[in-house]
Amino acid sequence: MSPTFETLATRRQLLRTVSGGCLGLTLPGLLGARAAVAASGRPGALKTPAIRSCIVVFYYGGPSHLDTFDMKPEGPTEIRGEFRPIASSVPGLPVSEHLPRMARVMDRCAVIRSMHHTNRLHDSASTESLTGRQSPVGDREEFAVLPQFFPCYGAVVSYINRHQQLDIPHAALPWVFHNVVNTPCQGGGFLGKAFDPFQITGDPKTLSYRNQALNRAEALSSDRLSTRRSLLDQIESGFPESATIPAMRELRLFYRKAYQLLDSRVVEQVLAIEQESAAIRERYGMRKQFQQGGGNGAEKGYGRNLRGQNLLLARRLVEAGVPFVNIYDFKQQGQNWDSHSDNFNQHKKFLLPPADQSLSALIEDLEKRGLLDSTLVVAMGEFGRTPKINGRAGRDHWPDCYSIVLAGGGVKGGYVHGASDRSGAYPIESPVTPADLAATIYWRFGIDPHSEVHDRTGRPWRLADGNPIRELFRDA
Amino acid sequence: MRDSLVHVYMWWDAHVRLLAVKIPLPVVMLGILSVVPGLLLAAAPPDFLYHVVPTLTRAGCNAGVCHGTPSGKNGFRLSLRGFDPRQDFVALTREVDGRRINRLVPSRSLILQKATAEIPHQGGRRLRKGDTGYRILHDWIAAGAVENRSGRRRLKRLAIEPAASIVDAPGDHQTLRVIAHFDSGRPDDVTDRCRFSVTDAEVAELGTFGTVRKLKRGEVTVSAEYVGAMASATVLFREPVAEFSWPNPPTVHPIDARVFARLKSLQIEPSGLCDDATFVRRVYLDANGRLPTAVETRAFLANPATDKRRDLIDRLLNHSEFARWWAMKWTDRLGCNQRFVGKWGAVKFHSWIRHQMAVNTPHDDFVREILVASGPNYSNPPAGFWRRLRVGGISKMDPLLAAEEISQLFLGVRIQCARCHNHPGEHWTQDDYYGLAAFFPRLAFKEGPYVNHRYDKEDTVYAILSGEVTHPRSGTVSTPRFLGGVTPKIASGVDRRVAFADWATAAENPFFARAAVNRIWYQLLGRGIVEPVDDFRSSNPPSQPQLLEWLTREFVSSGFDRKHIIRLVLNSHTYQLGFQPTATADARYFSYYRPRLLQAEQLLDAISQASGVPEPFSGFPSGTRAIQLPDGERKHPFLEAFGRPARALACECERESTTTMAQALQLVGGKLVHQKLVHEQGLVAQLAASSLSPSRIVEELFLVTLCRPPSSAEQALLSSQLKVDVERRKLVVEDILWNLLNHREFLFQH
Repeated sequence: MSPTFETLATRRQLLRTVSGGCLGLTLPGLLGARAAVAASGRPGALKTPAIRSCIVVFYYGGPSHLDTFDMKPEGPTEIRGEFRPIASSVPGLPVSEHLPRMARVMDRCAVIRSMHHTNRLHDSASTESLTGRQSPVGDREEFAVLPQFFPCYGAVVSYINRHQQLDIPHAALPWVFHNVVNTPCQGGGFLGKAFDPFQITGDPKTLSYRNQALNRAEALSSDRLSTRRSLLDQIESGFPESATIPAMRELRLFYRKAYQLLDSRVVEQVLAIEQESAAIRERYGMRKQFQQGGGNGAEKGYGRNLRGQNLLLARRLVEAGVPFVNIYDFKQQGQNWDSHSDNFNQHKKFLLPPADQSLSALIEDLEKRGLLDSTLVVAMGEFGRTPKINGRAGRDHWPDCYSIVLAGGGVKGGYVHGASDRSGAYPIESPVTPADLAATIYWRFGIDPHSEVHDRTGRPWRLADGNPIRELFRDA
Repeated sequence: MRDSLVHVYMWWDAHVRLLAVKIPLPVVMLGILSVVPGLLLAAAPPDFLYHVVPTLTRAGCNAGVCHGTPSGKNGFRLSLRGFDPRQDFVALTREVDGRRINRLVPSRSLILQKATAEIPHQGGRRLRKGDTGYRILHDWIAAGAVENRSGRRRLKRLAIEPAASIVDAPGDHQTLRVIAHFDSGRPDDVTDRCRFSVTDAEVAELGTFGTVRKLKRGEVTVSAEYVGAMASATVLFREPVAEFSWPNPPTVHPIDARVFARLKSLQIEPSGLCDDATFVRRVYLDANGRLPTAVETRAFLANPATDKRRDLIDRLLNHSEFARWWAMKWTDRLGCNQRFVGKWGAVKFHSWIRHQMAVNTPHDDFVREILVASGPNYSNPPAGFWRRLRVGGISKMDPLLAAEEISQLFLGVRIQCARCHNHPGEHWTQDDYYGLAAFFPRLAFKEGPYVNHRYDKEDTVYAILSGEVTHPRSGTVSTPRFLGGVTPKIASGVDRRVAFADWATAAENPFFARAAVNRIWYQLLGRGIVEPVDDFRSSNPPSQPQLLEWLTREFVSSGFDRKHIIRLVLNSHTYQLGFQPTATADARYFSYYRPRLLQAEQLLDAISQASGVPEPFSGFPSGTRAIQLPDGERKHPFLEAFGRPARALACECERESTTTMAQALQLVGGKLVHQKLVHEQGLVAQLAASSLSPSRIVEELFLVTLCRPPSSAEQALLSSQLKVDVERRKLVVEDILWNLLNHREFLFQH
């Protein structure tokens, strides 16, 4: 790829940053970076302060909107299903009886009941949900590797704020999710690998997390690293300055950050979730608390024990100043929210309890720590499920109308945006697309969602084709 | 009658422009000028296609970010840069009950009030009352806003005059005229109806009326777009340059003759010839994909022969490692990944490609064999190429994907944009796109048998007699048509791919040889003569046009001999220039050898070789190099961090060359590098346990990594580190090798 205007600009900014002194992943550095993010929000465009962080909890497989946040208790049996609604902390906003903890925090959440798009398959639906645009190859499952085209939300935010030189502008955990091949919507896409997330890998057996690249060789003490570092500076000084190309300087800049990351151990500490008290870990949900056993999917999920802890780790990351965190709830096809059969048992026994527990915990925990107003939490699947229950007591894919939940980041508590029809099949009011969600997220970060980036052919793209949903937010 | 009135209008148009640049006017025009413009215009309505649409394009109304986006803007949609005038006519005159124009009071037309921002317009002010664009729209509406499709002349060609010019200081601008040639009637000056762009906004900027204004010395290409036609011209701005002197480099070699002539005219001083140590490292990496060993480097440096560089080049090109390395470049681009071609198929395809490189199969035969391949892909590996060109790589044939990938890969033409709309800023149209795609729908696949493994599956590729491609705008079946417009006669029952392959690989094909030599040049110099390497278009001209022409001719006349071209390039003075730029240097024109990061596999192999610890690859014998891996599906964090592609795209850009944090972490604290340093059988352990003196150890470490002896300063610095106790010696040698592996002279080819 030849240097486009964009990449040249990056390099120039990069160099400017070097000369102006650079952030490390020391905590003061991180806090400074957060302040910079906040300051970069355009006050003219936002009445409430820009958010500093966003956590996207992605329920892969597609939760049933009819059995969670858009219940139809008056509907016919073949639509309303087995669950009953219960009252929440917001009058007139009932939720499923299997979401008792979420019911308590609905006054801090907003629900969009009119989400919709046109992708009926997991890969393409996930791609549109997590990038705000339909996959360039259309609605289909991928059976062979397809390089990601559109960047994910976290990549766009880190690209726009790249001059801040954050060590971790975007983290993803606890793995890269996939159907047959890795779903191509989790990295930088045409913005380049440099904007892939900092990938955190969870270990369901030990309930711990690590980053492959930071897993440095044991024998390398900090002293040793610093000896090497100063020696390298000396021997490289013989290399002619005139022959030093920008890529060499960039790489040195990344070296500097790498030293800091390896040396400071801040990241290691953030990932050390075992430092949390037992009470907190239990509050988010620990293993063995949920029923396990035979069935057809979610109960077999390799990572089911991590589902609560993932959100706790996200809170730790946000607390350390990471602006964007993606959580992939479940890793692979066939072991997730995709309840084509036995929908009610799956939701009741395996899917809803940990989700209810961890999401409510995250909201309360962020609030307690004073982070809720500056952190937007988005909880969603790639689609909803068919209103009509199928012959196997299951519900199939339904992108035509579904619900997502937002909390924090200035959302109006207890607000419901949009509405579905009597059977939850189609929006009848204020329809919302993933493009609007994308625009909303960028806008809340203080980024103009209609600013342009260029792909590798030079084609211009707006960051998001939709429009921010201002009504979701206080004073907006 | 109407035609002549249109001409009068055009003359008037041109006349205003001419006035602005103070060129004397023909008497006839002066006569026309004396007429009150309003009266004249009332009698000469602008033409929709040749006046109105270009005006919308020039004003930016139909740009991709404005009304040209597929969903339009605020309910008003135009075709992107006017590629569909029919649609635009309807949008302007009939949509929203025709409210966009007002034939009775043209100045009250919504499009004019919006465009002049008289009423609020999100896109701001695009036109001013009284300027040419405004008048065109106004007068077209006043004359009834007719489409006038019949009786219109056909635009044949666009040209910029002068096509190439040199402006020496104190001159600081050049005025260009854009002339439209039609199938009948006189040519028309359309300068002020064109959309212009320049290749280098730091060198020059566009003024009004076709003026190109110098910002600094250098060359720019100016492109003009008018009603779907494109033209370009180059302007070179020069001035006396104090630091420029001409070192009289040798011009015996045909490559050098062309490169240096151009550098001289551009006032760019080339660097001097690189030294032997730089050369030996560079040429091993380019010809065989690996570093020379310490023994090989010593032997070359000690050799007193004057033609030793030529001899080394010959030796490397005849070595089996040549085929390994050059095969990798093609496995990347041809889809060598088990998800597409099956696990065993990837191995077979890779070895087939390697064999073609080893026996130096002429490039036209090589490509032809791929383009017409049929049969089971485990026994006929090139058929595997077609397995990737299916919907999702697994389902039925995707002729559109095939057209895009084949065009980019073998013809150097990126035609993707024309899938949805005519290529903006280029002359490729949707007709070109679907005409090309029509060569590829008639292919089917028989699945299986499966062998051992979910992705270890052989598929049989076979031609079928039916299958068409439908043009999305007309809804009609597209006829196979070569890029450039010729429609071949293909007998029924004949595989359309054969007709395409005959055309594509012919000596006179204007794209094929040119794209191939540019790719070879790119692989050796790190930058194409046309850059990006697979993006030939009129607005992206070659930096060394005569060099590209000569290489193309030489390639064709040598019978598409790949190795011949590689040998020519490696032996040129241009290739062997030093990596330190001069004060006037410019990498675009190859005035020095610009350093570049080693490719992922090269780098891993270089670290393995230098440390004496081969990288293990499961399923392959010990000592297998990373450049030999057949399957892009293999997981390897180090290779992935350094940009190894999954081999899923024809685009060269799939191999990313950007620097990232992940790379730094691999090199600074990564286990892979560490384990090679501390390995008990590795070079570090051997040197530490040896009786060699500190200075010999340092010298050895320099030779295996940077392929040169250390300077005295480097020697002094590092030897002093080694004056330690025996038990610490190994740690220090580890540190020194680590330092050399992280040295920019190691990581970058230079």
